[in-house]
Amino acid sequence: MGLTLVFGVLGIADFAHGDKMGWGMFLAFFVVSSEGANLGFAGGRFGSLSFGWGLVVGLLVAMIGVALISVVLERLVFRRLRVTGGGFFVFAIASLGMSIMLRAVIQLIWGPSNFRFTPGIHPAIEVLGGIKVKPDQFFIVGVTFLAAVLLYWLLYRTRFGKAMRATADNPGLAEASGIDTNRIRVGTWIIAGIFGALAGVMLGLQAEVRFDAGFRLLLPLFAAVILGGIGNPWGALIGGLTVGIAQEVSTEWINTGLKPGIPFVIVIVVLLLRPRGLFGQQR
Amino acid sequence: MTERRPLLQVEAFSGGYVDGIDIIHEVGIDLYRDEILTIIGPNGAGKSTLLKAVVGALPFERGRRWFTGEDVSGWSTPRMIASGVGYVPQVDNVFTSLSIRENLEMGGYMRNTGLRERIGEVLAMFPDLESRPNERASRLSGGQRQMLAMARALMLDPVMLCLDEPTAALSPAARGELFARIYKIHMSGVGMLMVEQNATEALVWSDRAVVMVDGEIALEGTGTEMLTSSEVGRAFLGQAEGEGFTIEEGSTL
Amino acid sequence: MEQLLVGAITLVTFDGAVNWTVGFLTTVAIFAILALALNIQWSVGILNFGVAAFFMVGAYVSAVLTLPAPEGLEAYVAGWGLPIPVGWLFAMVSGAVLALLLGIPTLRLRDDFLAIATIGVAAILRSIANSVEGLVNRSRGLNGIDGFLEDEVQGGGYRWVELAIALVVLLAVYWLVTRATASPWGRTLRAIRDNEDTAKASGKNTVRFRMGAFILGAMLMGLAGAIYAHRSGTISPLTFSDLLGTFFVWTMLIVGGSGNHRGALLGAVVVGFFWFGTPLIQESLPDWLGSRVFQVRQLLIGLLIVVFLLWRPQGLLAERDRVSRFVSQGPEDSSGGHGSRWRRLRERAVAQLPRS
Repeated sequence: MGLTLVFGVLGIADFAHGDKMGWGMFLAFFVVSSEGANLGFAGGRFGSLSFGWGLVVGLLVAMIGVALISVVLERLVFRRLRVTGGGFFVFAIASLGMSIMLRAVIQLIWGPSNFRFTPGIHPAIEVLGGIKVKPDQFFIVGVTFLAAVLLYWLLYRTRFGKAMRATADNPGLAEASGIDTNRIRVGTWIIAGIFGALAGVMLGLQAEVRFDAGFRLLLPLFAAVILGGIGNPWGALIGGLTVGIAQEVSTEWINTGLKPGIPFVIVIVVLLLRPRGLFGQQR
Repeated sequence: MTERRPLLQVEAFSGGYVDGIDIIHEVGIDLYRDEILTIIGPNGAGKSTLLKAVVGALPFERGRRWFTGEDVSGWSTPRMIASGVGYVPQVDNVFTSLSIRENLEMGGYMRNTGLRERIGEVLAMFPDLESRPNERASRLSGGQRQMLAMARALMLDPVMLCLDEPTAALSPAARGELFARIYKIHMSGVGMLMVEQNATEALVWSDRAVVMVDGEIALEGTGTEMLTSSEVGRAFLGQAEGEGFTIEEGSTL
Repeated sequence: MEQLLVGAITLVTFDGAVNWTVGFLTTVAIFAILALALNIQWSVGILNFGVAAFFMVGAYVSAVLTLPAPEGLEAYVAGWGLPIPVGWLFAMVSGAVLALLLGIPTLRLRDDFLAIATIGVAAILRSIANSVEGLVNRSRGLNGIDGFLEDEVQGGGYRWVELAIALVVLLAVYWLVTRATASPWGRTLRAIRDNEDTAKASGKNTVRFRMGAFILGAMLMGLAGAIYAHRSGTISPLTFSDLLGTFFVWTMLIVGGSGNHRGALLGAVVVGFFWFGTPLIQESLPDWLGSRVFQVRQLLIGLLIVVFLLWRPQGLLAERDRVSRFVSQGPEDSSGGHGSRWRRLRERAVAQLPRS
């Protein structure tokens, strides 16, 4: 959802988004793991969930950290590029360069190994019809839904959100209406960063904490965004669900190793049939 | 009788989009609050550029401009907007993906108070818009879009409105209605600076007009003078616009 | 290839230095072909983030066609032991086919979709190669790929032959792309890049021209892959990572100067020296840095891209007489900073045209 926001509002395909998620994951991990424990808030768990207050603090740190990274990159790189001109291509390549850098720094600090937020096995509990779900997964689904509602509210019900949509629609006119578009852009990066960090932490809960986990998710992310229609938060949510489910279900029929190919196939099919996405709007 | 003071004064103004390449040269215009001033002229004469210069949207400028007696040379567009200038660009002048009401909210982004009330007032001026405030701007007709664009520019209670070819690409009927609306808004106390291609019709509604050629003011006069001037008529109004326009500089009416 | 270079890491002897240089130049020549091919695509505004995919397809196709039939644990298709030039030819064909398949759905659409699609196809090809049994040996990779003319050369002189092959092909490719750019076809491509609408208005089918450039570039990338496969003798899905196969090539192009074939060559040498030269100094670095040199190298590659885009967008060698696509098309209002003013100006100009 952060990606669709940046893509839609700023017209930048942020290839570094995946690695920002990676940063969110590792910042939270940093808090939850030994260093965090020493500070005294890693203890305890919430009910049958696999984590406690440590992760909540970690999440906050991750959000602030990733938002900061995004803003710094906007200030140092994107704003300058916008002034010198060059357009979409330059932004895409620059974000790719930053993606490489961000990943390299993760590796420098934490090395190439895999981690888990909390060691040990977390048993799944049985729900209806023998389907087994981990409590954490309930939590993830709930948080995601909340995040979508929040984003919708932000974009459609607040002044700042409407100004974001206006800037996306027509930056020149937004400025002629007295909207400080630079502030809107920084705000967009912050929100995208917060959502990116949230996604990264959720991903870390669900899977392993890996230096390239975020980058690996980039293609499914873009697939979800394109599927849902660029700049549309509900679309991104439904697109994300579709891509995720398609990936999991596909393993019934095809080789598990081919799973990463599914989002790609979805992208191509969507592009052929409905280039504006399932919920894209005609202009 | 108090001295009549211009709302806007532009003096010896030159500028363009690229440093060193001026599109308008040494232009000077005045606008009073109680008039509609129309800029006409052939394509490429610098009419829209002049309008942009007035609202501070031109990257390179030399010369001076005053607004309500204050020296506003070099002011940026947001600052001009905040001080009471409304600007309606020629194209892309509404947020197509936003609703009518949201467009107006964006127009009033700088307002701290009375946003809701002002939206109501502005909507009341345009019955077409008032009847469906939640419609997306992309679904409006050309004339309705122009009205929305004007309505958006009115959100900050401007004392002056700059309109860039408001009737371009509109049908004659829609043009008539739009001019009438413009006039009505003008009568409520808003000075109008307008660039127009549909010169004859625009002149009918204008108090005063200037003709721009090659980035300079070639002629100036009242709307009626312009309409009845044989030179303007022959060169500009009767024939295809911009063709065979040959007026010597400094010629008088 | 890294192993080759690391093998030659001790430059203490004269022979060692010569061997390293020959190996280095061969590798750089192969990457220079990739950079030239990418430049052809980039010059029409095709954002190919999947160079690795075309590189990989070329390498694998040529390898399976020229390898003998699989034995023992080996499991791959074809294995017909065809002559190596035939492998090269089909490497080019396969690159072209891949480009065609990718281009059809995406070239008509927004520019960014092709970028996403190409980055995706690289990922999917790697995962296919890794996971489909009996196709290309999965992650074991293909080994024992013959070098071109290897049997005819005795002793240790073969590395010189490898260098010669790579250089000859590079020169041929350079000649080809230079000719292509100077031809009417190339002029049209430039026109499309500079202003697609005008080119369209003058009756050019821009999609077909862009597809042509995409395919030409993809063929050359396939060829580079084939040369690489026969040179190294071993390929596996790991070889064709996004970092080395794609971003590395992009860095070469951006550092050297896009829109200029000599710039691409220069970029290949400079960035190549930086990348492959780093292991040489690894041992002389302090421990804290030496152990992290590969990550630092990756960090610097990303940094190079960003720094050049910001401060020297035209690259080391600026495009002559023409404005590079990276360079500003006109001054922007610094307070505004929205890059679309010029586009809107043009649109306005179009809108003012007399209506028929």
